[in-house]
Amino acid sequence: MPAFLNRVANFDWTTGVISPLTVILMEVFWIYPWLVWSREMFSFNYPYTPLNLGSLIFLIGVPFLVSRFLQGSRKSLRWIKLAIVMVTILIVLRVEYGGGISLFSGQWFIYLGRLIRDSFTIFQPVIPAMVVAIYLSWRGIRMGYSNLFFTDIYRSFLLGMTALILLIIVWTTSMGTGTIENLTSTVGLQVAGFFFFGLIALALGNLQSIRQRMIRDKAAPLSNRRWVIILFGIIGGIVVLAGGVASIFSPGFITMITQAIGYFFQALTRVIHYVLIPLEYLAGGLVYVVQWLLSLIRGATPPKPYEPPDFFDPGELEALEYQPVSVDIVLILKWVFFAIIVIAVIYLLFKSLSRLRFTREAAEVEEISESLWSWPGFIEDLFMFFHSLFDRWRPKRKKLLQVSSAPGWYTENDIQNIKNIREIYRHLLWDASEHGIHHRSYETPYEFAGRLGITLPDGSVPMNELTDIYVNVRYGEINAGDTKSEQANSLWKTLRRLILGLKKTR
Amino acid sequence: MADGLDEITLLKDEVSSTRRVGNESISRIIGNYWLFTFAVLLIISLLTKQTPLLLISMLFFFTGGVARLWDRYCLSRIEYRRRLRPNRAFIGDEVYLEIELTNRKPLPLPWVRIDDELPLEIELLKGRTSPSHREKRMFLNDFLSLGWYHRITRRYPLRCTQRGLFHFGPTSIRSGDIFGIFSREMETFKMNYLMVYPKIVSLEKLGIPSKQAFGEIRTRQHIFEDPVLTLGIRDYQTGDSLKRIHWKATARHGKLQTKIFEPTTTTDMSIFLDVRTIKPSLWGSRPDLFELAIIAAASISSYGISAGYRTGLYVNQRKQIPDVPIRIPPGQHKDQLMQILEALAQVLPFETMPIDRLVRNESQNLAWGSTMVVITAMPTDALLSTLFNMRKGGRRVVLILIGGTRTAVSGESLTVYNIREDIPWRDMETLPITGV
Repeated sequence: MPAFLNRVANFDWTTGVISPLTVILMEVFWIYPWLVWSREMFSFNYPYTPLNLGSLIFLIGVPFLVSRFLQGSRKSLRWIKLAIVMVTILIVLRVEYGGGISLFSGQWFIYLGRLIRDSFTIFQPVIPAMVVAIYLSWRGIRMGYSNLFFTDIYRSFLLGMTALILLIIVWTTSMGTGTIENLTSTVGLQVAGFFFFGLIALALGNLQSIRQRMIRDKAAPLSNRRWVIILFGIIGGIVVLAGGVASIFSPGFITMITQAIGYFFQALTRVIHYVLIPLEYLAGGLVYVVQWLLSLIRGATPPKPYEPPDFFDPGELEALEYQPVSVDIVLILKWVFFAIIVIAVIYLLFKSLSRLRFTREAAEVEEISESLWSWPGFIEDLFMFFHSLFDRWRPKRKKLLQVSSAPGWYTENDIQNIKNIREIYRHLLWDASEHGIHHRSYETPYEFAGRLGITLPDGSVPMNELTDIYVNVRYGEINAGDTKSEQANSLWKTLRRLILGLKKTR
Repeated sequence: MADGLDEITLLKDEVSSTRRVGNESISRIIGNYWLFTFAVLLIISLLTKQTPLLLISMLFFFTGGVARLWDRYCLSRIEYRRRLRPNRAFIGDEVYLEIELTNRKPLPLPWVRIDDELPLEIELLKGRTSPSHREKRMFLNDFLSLGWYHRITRRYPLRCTQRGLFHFGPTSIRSGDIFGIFSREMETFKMNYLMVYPKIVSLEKLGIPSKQAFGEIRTRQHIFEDPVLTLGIRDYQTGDSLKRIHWKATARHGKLQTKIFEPTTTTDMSIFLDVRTIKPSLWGSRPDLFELAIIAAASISSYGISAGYRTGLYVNQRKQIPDVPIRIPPGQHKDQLMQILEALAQVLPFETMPIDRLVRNESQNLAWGSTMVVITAMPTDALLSTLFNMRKGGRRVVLILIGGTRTAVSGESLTVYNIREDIPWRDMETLPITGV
């Protein structure tokens, strides 16, 4: 038992669960819109898609687990696996296409056969359901056998993206542009979901590939908290940003998103209401006890016996009993299910990472983490970035930079990618002088570097390196190569940011 | 020596330009056809008024854009630093290797892989390594994730299990976008050096009686004079060497004046270490004998300095940094022992000249009363002949045989000590440095 617990505790959830789960969800989210299309295209005799999202996940998940955990080359094992996969497909079809027949009745097989036979005259949803079930089972088996390396996931991602593009084209050509809003409201979120899970799967696959190339140790840490924050920040940002841009062009899409959010909050309000009912009982009871105690003290008549709030309101119950389940509620349920999966993925990821963090603290090397963040530095970097972006379209002033004399001043445009080390050093002196650290005529470069290091402790290391490069060029008359120039430029930019953080003296 | 090491560290501080690495076929689609694919999808979506297609095109655009942003900037404004604390140690000591990576830009780095080349002879107590394609080297693999404006320092404990001068580096740093579409690599050629000194053990444990093993200091007092320290002058007497005449004083007095030097109370001990451990004309070495010879040299040097000898070292080998012959004249400076130990730390088992020739050459520069201690595992006839001649000429010569298998050495005229091959020097404790 302890060995089992130890295995569970050391299980790599990120590799073993989350990564396959994201790949499964990616596959599901490009297949599901095709089923929606088949529903719209063939006008089936009932309003649901041939298979729902849960069935799709089940169809791909079970074969994946079977082929991942029942590995072996024995023939009997193969037959067992095949049988499990077949049973999975039949279970899904039985649940989706029950036809009002009792659960374990053999009549259902006759019903299924009739549905298939009828498809030759009127196309039945069971046909796309069976095709998709077989395809997903095959994908599940393939995924179970593969290591889910980056290239496999990347191929699946490209396939899914192509399939989605194709679907939209097929949808438009088969049903005309009149169904745009319908298409948007039905597959818009699936597209977003496909990209969300697809990109997470790609990122996880990438990380796994790096780790496996680097070390063959299974106990190696896969990721850490910072990595996860970056991962969700970037991918969430991409999906939200793209959705936002797309919604500008589609009022229907906005309506759909706001509706989905509205449904979610309505459901949440109701859940909170039900959660609060026991508290209502408790509060009522407490009030009654207090009143009763007060009446005892005052000698007054006791209060009326406590009547708890009526939870089962007959009118409401009646309404609930006879109200048919609307399509909206089904949609809400689907998205709640989707949200639960997303939350579960995030929760498991954090849980596994926090476990890794604690085990690493005990076993790994000492690590010191420091933040170098400052607002002036950040703003300066933003300015530099946008300048470098816009500089592409500005007339070049490189010729001016070839002048060897020391500049009395310079503009922001002059400072990008200076290759001359002596010029870099002159710019540095200028910046330092502007901010109160004047170079004295009798000072050697190293003395000046030391003095600058006292004022800017963070800059002492890059300053020393830059000084070394400058001294070699200036006094050693060594022709610095491109590498040194790039290095000097990079060092200077770092120093410049630090110097500009000082108060200007003139 | 310390300055020499640091100087070389700076001179080799080179950083390569970044280059794109990784899966080209994958990066080609998003790398080369990214904007084209986006434009096609965008145009189709606008023409057909398909919002989902617009959404796909936007998602594709942002994904590609984000990947390219990292591709371009992931390795810019990255600072990598490697430190050894301390960078000098004795065998068995623990030192720390510090690896510091700084990201001085607003773009966080989801992953950074650092492959640092280390010597295989050093035992890494924590951390993960992988084999290197180079001989006696390994890679220390680091995998980091850096936020914006963020610095991470990792400290790896190392144990010095072998004597030598070990270099750390070069290093390759690789990073890229979070999706693995692009990755870039750069190399830093900056080297750090760790010097591991040989063990110093007591002479008794080596089988050498330390009491007056290398000549008596007390009996030789006032026999020798220090030509650097002039006590005064006196009138010339017949037999005075012309070298001792003070010509300026002679000119002033109008008659010959002779310098009087202060008598010296110390004697010199020059240690000659032969790095050859197998027969001449053969190429190779016997590592145990070689290390034992170095330990003997270090221990005798330590003893000599603490006993008041002006001790020097001569090895028929060249230093690694800087590339000069190992030749430390006798001295009693406080850093003398450290200089000798640093030289011994760098000794390799390949001779640059036969030991007998080295002894002949250097003996000309030695003070007359100095003791010559020759340590060898392979006493050739030429060496023995040279030492006999030195002895006959009045010099005090001590021969220390490592392995002690040779019996042809006559102990009548030379002082000979044997250090047995099976001495468990690895288990012996290093003595604290004295006389420094």
